[in-house]
Amino acid sequence: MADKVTDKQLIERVKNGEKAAYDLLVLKYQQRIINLVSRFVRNQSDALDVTQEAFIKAYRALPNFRGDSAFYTWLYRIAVNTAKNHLAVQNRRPSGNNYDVSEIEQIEGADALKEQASPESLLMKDQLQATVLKAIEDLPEDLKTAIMLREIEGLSYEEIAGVMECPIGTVRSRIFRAREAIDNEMKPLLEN
Amino acid sequence: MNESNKEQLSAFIDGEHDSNQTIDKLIHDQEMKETWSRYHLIGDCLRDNLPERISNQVYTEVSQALRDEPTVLAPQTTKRFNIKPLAGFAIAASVAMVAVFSIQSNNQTAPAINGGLPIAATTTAQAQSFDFSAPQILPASVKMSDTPESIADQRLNNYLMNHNEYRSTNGMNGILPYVRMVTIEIQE
Repeated sequence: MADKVTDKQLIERVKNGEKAAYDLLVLKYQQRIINLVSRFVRNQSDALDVTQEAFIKAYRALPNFRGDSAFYTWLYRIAVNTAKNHLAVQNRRPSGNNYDVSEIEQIEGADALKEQASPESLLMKDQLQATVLKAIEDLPEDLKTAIMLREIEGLSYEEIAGVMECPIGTVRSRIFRAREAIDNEMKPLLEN
Repeated sequence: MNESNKEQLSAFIDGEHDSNQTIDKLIHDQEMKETWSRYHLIGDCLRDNLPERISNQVYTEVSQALRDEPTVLAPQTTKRFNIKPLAGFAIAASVAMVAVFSIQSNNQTAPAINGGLPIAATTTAQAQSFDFSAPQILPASVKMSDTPESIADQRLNNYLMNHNEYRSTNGMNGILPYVRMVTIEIQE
């Protein structure tokens, strides 16, 4: 629900000609969509290409998005279809069984190089998760509860206020402080 | 970016802060945009939505690709004219018009031809004034010895036959007059 409200405002901006608002949607959903596409497309480099294609397709189709469903649901369908189309094209290509050993080494080496060439792809999921979980463990109990209720349970501020028996303003502040604390731990990892 | 802006951004991410100012800042302030990205990364991490390798490559390349794309502009929402109720109304009106005119023409033409004259007289007049392709049926002669009931039946039959002959030329009535004739004969 919260996502829907925020996304709706950003989509309105994009529809009014502000391309930059679409960047925010890409930043928001890129990890989720890469994760989704990776379930279909094993090769990391291909998964990134397919994800990129899905986002561009979604941008082009945005005037037709009426908002009946959540933006993520719509984007999800586009990403799945793009991944399936990619696989169908791959399957129609002649099989690579005729490569000799040196060619295979070259191809594998090229893939590895391509992946290393992207400086953004150095951070591993495990590293990030460990850092975030450590940061959460170090949070005061009230901040930890607030951020977990929001991010994992998906409760609204009003609902969290009810659970934690505090004003909505306090919930807002606690969630922000929790995010800031986690972000302070995470930021150096991403910058490196 | 100050603490207040960050707190507003945090609330905006959760759909708890509705402000165009925040979106404006977010679109134009690179630092705020990076914070937006990291805050979402925290959520994805906690919900285990992350891919094996964290990459900003998609954002970079999509952003680059969209620079060459034409700007998306939503079509103006025009109120669609719903033609269905009007079409229904038009059909109903047409049917009503046809019904009214057919009834009117039947009611107007018959008295004008008969003109209140006796049946025996009108039958001849009809034969003269209309070019009937079907063979004419002459009025049956009335026998004085007949009972009042049979005289009435004969007159009614004559009337109906003459009337039917005229009506059958009117394309609008179709087979209905013949059905009436048969009904009378059966009753007899």
